[in-house]
Amino acid sequence: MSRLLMIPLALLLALPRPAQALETDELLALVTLPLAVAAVADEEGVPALELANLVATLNNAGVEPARMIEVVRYVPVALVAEAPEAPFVGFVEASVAQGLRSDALVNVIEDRLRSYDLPDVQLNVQQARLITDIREDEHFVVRRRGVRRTAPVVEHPHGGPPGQLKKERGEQTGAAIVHGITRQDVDEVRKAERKAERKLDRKADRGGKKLKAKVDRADNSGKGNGRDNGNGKGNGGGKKEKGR
Amino acid sequence: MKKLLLTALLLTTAACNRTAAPSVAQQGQPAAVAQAEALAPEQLGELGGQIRKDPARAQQLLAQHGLTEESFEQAVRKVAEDPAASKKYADAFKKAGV
Repeated sequence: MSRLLMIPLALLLALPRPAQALETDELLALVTLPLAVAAVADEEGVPALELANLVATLNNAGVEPARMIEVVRYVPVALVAEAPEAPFVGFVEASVAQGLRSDALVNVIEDRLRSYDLPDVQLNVQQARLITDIREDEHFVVRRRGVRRTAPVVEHPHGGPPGQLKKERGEQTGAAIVHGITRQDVDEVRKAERKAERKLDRKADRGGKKLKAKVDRADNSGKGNGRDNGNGKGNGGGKKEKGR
Repeated sequence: MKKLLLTALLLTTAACNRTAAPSVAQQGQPAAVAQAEALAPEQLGELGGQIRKDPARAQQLLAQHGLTEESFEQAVRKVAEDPAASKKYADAFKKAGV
């Protein structure tokens, strides 16, 4: 009889229960995620567009909310310390483009943040942090301290170190590379400029001679040239030339 | 003993009915997503604050707004992608008593 009783009970235990999409911790992390974004967005010097791009990238990569909060709270530090040729948000986007997702992506971000003189970064947390004001967060203090990137930047987004193309092509300016101007073009422009300058100089010389002639012909009588048609006394006296 | 058997059978039947419930919810999932998208950041923030305050009532609170956990997650992640919307959410969240 007891066997008969055991069968329905075993069936009852074996039946699948409706799966909960989110555990309580995950749900609590989720509801506090926008708070972290809002707190960081309030911080001076954090570009809203870059922050939005970062969160969208992390969302698309399926990063869990608790870990997203950890990444977001380091954003002010990363944006201050980042090297202009290898920006933090660009780095995260590139990592996702390479196929990194979820925890693998978080691990790579963690390594990157460690290079900002933050050796104790730990992004793989289980419980979400409640961030209502980033100024109360310990990492805001780090940000104010003025962290700079300590590791050398290896990545070159355009394929090589700065100045490489100029060196290879024997150009003097970056503009020559970017705008496709050759050295010959620059020489031609300089030649035309020099020609125009010489022309101006010659004109100025001729103008000077004419002026001198005018001065020689000037009236030295000492009389004024006012409304009285030159009949005034004139107080200057005028310096008479010896020959006259 | 018959009573015991009957009780066990009743429990089994009840459990079977319970497993049928998610399939109904899954059928209505697109509607739940649409409902979540219709909620303003302030409404989502208030709901988030209430969930934070009483996580045990999360399912009930979500159901009251016609949401599933999945649709709610999508909506909150979308809010987080917009710093301005996140500020509205955060204000409503704090007002909800956290």
